[in-house]
Formats: sequence, structure tokens, C-alpha cells
Amino acid sequence: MSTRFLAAISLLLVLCACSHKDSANSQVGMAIDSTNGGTISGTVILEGPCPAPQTFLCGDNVGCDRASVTAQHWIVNNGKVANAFIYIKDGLDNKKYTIPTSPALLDQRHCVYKPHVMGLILGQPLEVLNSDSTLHNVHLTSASVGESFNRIFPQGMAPMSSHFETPGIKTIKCDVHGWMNCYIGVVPHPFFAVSDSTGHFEIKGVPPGDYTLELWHESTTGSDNAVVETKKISVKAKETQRADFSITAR
Amino acid sequence: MNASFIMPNNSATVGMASSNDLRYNPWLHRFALLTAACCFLLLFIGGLVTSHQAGLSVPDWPTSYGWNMFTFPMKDWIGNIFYEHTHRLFASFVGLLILVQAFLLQRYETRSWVKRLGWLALGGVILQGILGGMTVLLYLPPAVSSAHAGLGQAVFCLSLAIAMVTGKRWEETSTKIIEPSRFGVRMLSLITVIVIFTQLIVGAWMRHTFSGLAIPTFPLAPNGGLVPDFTSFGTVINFLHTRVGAFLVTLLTFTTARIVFRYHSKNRRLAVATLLAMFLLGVQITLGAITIWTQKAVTPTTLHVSCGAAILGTMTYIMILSWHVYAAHDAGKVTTTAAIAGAKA
Ligand SMILES: [Cu+2]
Repeated sequence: MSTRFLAAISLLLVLCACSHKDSANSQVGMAIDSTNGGTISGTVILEGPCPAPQTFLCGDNVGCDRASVTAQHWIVNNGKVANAFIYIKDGLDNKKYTIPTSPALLDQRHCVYKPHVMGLILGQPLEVLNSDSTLHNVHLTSASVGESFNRIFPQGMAPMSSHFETPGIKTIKCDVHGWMNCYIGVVPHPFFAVSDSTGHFEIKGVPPGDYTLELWHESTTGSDNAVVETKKISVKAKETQRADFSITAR
Repeated sequence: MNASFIMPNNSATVGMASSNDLRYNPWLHRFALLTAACCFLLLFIGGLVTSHQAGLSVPDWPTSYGWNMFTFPMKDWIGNIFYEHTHRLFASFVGLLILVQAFLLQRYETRSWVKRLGWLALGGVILQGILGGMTVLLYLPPAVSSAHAGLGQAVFCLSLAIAMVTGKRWEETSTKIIEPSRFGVRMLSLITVIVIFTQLIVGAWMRHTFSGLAIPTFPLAPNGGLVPDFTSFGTVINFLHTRVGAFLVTLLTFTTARIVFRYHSKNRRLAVATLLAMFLLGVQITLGAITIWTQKAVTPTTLHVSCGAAILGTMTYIMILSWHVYAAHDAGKVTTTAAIAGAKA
């Protein structure tokens, strides 16, 4: 291999590294217009019977400080589904929004992730904590090559900081405690919400316009293969638009 | 039977027999047996890691949560770490056994090709350790994990071969060969070993792509027929392992058995190994079915992996023995009708 070729390769690597850094630092953009913006609000409903919740025994995992864990796959109250991630999929015309500098928090407490589902703006920092007196591993899976990681998180370690450079649903799991998993919906704008325990969600400050709204739930990927339809919605200034979703479990 | 007893007039053979007596080292053989047994146990523990999906529970390698692997405190061997960490520790022990075995063979073994087998096993186990580390650091890509599973089986077979050839009875090949086709049992057992090994790789690939339940029913497909609807890659690989591969291995094992019982039934070791292979095959298909019916419960799934290794090992034994019988026969060390006739003349 010639020296010239090596030099060219190293130059290319340096250039890549620089451009990488630039994109991570660009945090300027539009702020959410909370006075003139509209609101999208709705409820997530489960069609059909609620699947039985799965329970895991913590066994010899004394550091979890609990005997068992109920899976958070389906959290359903009176037919209303919690932990659904609702976001604007289309219609925002690639406008850039201000990325908050304060990190979103993800805690590992009693061998469960808090929260189970959360949303993040692309580039927003994420801080992972370990409140347990036991160790975990933080295993992130992303569809984007190179973004996935698997890190150790012993008890007493300082919070772990991270951020995402590609949109999508990211999975975090702990392979020590097989039941521990959570999901992070990463979108390039601030118009998203996660349904609460009553199945309710609300997205505020949406600029007036026509949008496609999409719902993601743990059951829409993987073996459940549940079906949710996307919604077309028209948002008007200072008005609230209803958008109820129903998940059909199979 | 002693070779010098068969061919008393052949001074070359007598010389070989005495060197064989010198060659046999009971401790070397016992050490090789221990190594092979530990390799088998390691395959079982490795199977447990995958069954529990514990492969990434220790993210770092060769360290464990920043600790030296051998000083990682036992209080932290929690949850799935227990399986992954004991796999790493026991693998290190097996690596040490194979290393010591290579040096023992170098020092006490007289046949240079057996010495080479020892070094080959050492190279295999080192590569295996690196593959294990790589698959952890790369988050278990199916190709690397399957290669790790396959190489593990290969190193086990190599250890088994070393245990065989260092045995006292290795030179006792007294079978009278009456098989008309000179390549029958040899070629059949060789093909069977290759097909079983391929079947194990396909099984590993299926397992590491989480396709083990892509066809959730057995023996019939969910559509009620023998062939499922191929809706995904998982269904294809599942079909290849649970139907095509299982059928081919069964067919080949029984064909090999037919030749062995027809022409080599007087060779007790060959006959017993063949019976064992057939028995294990029955157990294996049952375990495979239970794995599907219990939706991959840890115990039947891991036993299925181990039983697959046992079948591969048994068929490797049959293959090596049958090739050895013919090799010895060709070297003129065993009684054949022709040899007896020649001696009488
Ligand atoms: Cu954990």
C-alpha cells in the first residue's frame, strides 16, 4: 500500500470525524409557538380483549429490592392503553426546532426502566441513571448502523450521557435482567407525546397546518403484530383537534 | 487382538506393535478424555447462554464489568451474568486443558500427526475464544455467533479424535472386512458427519436469528400441510433445520447403520456407536419437537443443542473408526480372508 493512499484514507477519516462533530453541535432552530399553536389531543383505545400481563420473578436478584416484576408490554386501564408514542410523521416541511440542552432522564429503579416509553427530539441529550444497588447493562439497539451500544452500568456509577443522530424507535434493554426493556421515540421536532395511564395524550403548540399523525406501541412491532392506522389531521391556531387511536391486538 | 499375533512372520508389523505398546500412555489418554468431556460440557454451558439470551449481559470482553475475569466478585454473578460469566470461566479452563494437552502430546506422543492434532486443537480453541469475544463486542451478529457455535462443535470433535487415537485400543482393528463396496461405510459416515455439521450450523443460524419458532407447529405447518407458507427468511431457515435437515440426518444415519450392521457387526465398537447414534437421534428429534411445543423452554432447547453435539461426536467416532479399520487393513495389519489364504499358501 502506498503512503499516498494511506494519507488519503487518513484525510478522509479526519474529514468524517469533523463533519460528525458539526452536526452534533447544531442546536439552533425555531421555538415552539405556544400562543398561536394548536393542540392535538386524544385517547388510545384497545380493540378486543386485553392480553394477560406477564409476571417475572426476580429470584436471586436481591439488588432489585422486589420479588417480581409485571411486564409493561400492555398497560391497559378500562380499555385505554398507556405507553403509546404518538408523533407527527409528515407535514412539518423539515423545519428545524430548538433542541433543549437539558437532558431527558431515564432511570433504572427496582430493575425497571422509568419511564417505559419516552420521546426525544433528535440531538437532545439523554441521561441514564442507575438508582439500584445492583448492576445493569445498558444495551441500546438502533436501526441505524453504528448507533447501537452496550455499556456496563455498575451500582454507584455516574449518570451516562448519550444522544441520537438518527430518528426512529430505539430500544434499550438490560440483558442481566431479561424483563428490563424500554423504548425511546426519536423525532426531528418537538411534536410528540406518550399516552398516560388513562390512555390520554396531548401535543401542544402545533403550528397550524395539515399533518399525518402516527402511533407507535410496543405491540405494533414484534410478534404481536398489532395494527394501528395513521391519521390525517388539520390543526388550526389556538384550537384543539381530537385524534383518537385504536389498537387492534391480534 | 495383538498385531504380532496375527502376522507372526512380518517383522515390520512386530516392530510396529512393540512401538505401539510403548506409545500407549494411560495418563495422556485419560487427560485427552477429560479434555473432550469438558469440551462437551462447555458446549452445554454455551447453549445455556443463548437459551437465556444472556450473551450480552457482560458487555465488556475480555474484562467483566471492568474487572479481571478471574477476580470479578461472585456477588455480582446475578441474573443472566451467571450463565455468561461461568461460560467464560469454564471456557478459559477448557482452553488451559487443550494447551496442556498440546504440550503433553508434544512431550510424550511418538506419532507426529497426533502432535499436530494437539496444536490444531489449541489453534481452534484460541480462535474460538476470540470469536466469542468478537460476538459480544459486535452485539451478537448471527454470522459470528453461528461461527462460534460451529467452531465449538469442531473443537469438540477434534478433542474426541485425540482421545480416540491416544487410546490403548486404537491399534486393535481386528475386523474381517467383507464389505463389497470399499467406500461404503467410510463415505457414508463422512457424508453423514458433514451433513450433521451443516445441520448444526443451520440450527445455530436459526437460533441466532430468533427464527426457532418461525414455524410454530410440529410436525405439521400452521397451514395444516407439510410445507409452510414461506413468508419470511425465518420460515425458510426454520424449514431447512426442522424438516429438511432433520430428515436428511435421519436418512443418512439409518443408511450408515444399515451398512454397519450388515458388514461390520463383528466390530463391536462400531456397532455400539451406531446403536448409540440411532438412540441419540430418536432423543434429538423428540427434544426438537418439545422445544417447539414448549416455545423454546430453556431446558429442552439447551438439551437439544447438547444432544446435537453428542450425535455429531458419535458419528465422528464412527467415521474415524471406519476409516481407521480400512487403513489398518490396507497396511496389512488385520486378518482378512485373502491374507489368511496367502499365509496358508
Ligand atoms: Cu438490569
